[in-house]
Amino acid sequence: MERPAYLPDFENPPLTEVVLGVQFSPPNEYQQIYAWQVWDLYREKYSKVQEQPPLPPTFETFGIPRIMQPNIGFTNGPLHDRYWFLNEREDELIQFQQDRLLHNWRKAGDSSNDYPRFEKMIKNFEDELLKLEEYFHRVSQQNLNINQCELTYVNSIPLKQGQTEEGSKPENWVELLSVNKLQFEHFVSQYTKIIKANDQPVARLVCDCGTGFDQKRNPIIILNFTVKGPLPNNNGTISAAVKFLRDGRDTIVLSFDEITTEFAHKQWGKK
Amino acid sequence: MTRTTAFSPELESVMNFKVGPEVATSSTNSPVRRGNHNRQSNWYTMAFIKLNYLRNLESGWDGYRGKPVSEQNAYFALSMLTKICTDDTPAPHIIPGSGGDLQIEWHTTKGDIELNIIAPYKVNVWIDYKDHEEEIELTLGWNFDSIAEHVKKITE
Amino acid sequence: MKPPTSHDIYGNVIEYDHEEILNEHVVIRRISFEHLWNDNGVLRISSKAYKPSTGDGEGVSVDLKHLIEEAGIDPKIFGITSKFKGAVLLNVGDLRQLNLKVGYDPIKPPDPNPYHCQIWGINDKRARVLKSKAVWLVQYPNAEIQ
Repeated sequence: MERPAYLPDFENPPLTEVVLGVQFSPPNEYQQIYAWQVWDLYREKYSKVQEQPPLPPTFETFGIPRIMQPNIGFTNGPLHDRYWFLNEREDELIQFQQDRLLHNWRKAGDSSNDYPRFEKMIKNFEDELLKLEEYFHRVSQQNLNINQCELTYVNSIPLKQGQTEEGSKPENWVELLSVNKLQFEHFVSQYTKIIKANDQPVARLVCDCGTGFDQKRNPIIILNFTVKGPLPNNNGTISAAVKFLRDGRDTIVLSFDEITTEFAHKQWGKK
Repeated sequence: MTRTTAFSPELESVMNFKVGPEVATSSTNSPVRRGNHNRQSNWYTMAFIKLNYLRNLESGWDGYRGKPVSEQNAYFALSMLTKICTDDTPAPHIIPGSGGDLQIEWHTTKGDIELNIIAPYKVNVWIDYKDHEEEIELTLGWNFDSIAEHVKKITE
Repeated sequence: MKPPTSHDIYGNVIEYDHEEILNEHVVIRRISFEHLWNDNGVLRISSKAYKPSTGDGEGVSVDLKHLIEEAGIDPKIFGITSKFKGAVLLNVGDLRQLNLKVGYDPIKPPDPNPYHCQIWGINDKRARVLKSKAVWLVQYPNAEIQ
């Protein structure tokens, strides 16, 4: 499937990481000891493995508008680790735990690795999901029952390095940062937006925007977008998840284009 | 979902950012709460304690094949309650089902509300006002706008 | 009693109506502390106690009273422990009037229960009806039936 023509396109956007993810009901017969079998599904390309703490379940619900309460973990028995299956260059990885599969691309090493583009990532992720579903079917005669999808774009906008005076001002890149006239030392913000279909909430867009520093202590703007939500009609199939992620990509790209300035677009080679 | 990005530790530790949608991190990575909206409501604390307890039920807790409340159902219940309850809402009763599911209910002199969480995004709702003959029954997924008003009416 | 003959791929009994379980028979549903809610000091049984678990084809577990009696056990003692202090009775005729099926489903060791049955077909509405028809076999301390 080709990239929609109506989407803004940039030659070199400040993208540093993209994450595609699904959450599903843990299959009945699966246990953590089988995680190596899951790794086997992807090992040919993702030959390295790391263990990470598990991610708690997450759900997007709608009703009384309020900021979510802090996400405190329940204490209970055995927890399933989150495994990172990394490729050789460690710029792509698959994250797996008993109720999650995610695929990350990130800038790595000398950051010369190019973003493979969403169309390629979604195709690979769909294949990975199909492999996982086939495996779960062998283990527990169950299909993947996906209940939540998430797509995240992480952008890092350098402020000082190689920039003109104009380029060193945060408000010249992101309109939200026009509060810089207050001459803040540091700024952090988040907004959320309900995404609707037929006037009903179907997903949530979260935008994190603020200032920070990169590994070399150079000032940057962090601009992250996440679209997350359930699948329509509780249709927990892989094809429904792929559609959600495609729609999410559209929302993110349009939001990114909307919140950033013409100056920024010129720097990033907007087509 | 909390951000699942594979940032290098150095970059993440210097970012004064919310790691997830709910929690802000300082440069020392300790959680920092924002604003006065994050004050813990009484119902939230009670619900969390009860759900944590139900997550630790032993197998066969019901005398048959009962399982503890599943992790996903527990988190979903909390997420749902944040969209239904105001700070003044009394804590609900939370009853486990045999299969890891659960039911959230309020019973007052004005009526009864039962929210039967079959699975995340599948909630059977039953509302019975004492002064109305007609009961309300519906199934909800993720939009609990309509329920918040009923909970308020029955519990205030 | 004739054992069940049809099982799914997980070994669970597929729902059916057992011909030897008659309308005049009575089944016992154990009530756990977890099924109760506190109404200003009075414990009440939640309708959830009568609802099935969430898996496809799963029913509500009960014990067949006359089988327990035929084995020489007092039903008021069977299944009652420090954890399960209460039990209610449901009439099979009432269950079938609600178009429910009652099938024999003995549980094998290590925790055997040869008197175990399941009720299939309960939805939320029928569960509330069952709640209204249940009577105590062993009254849970400080609890009321409704």
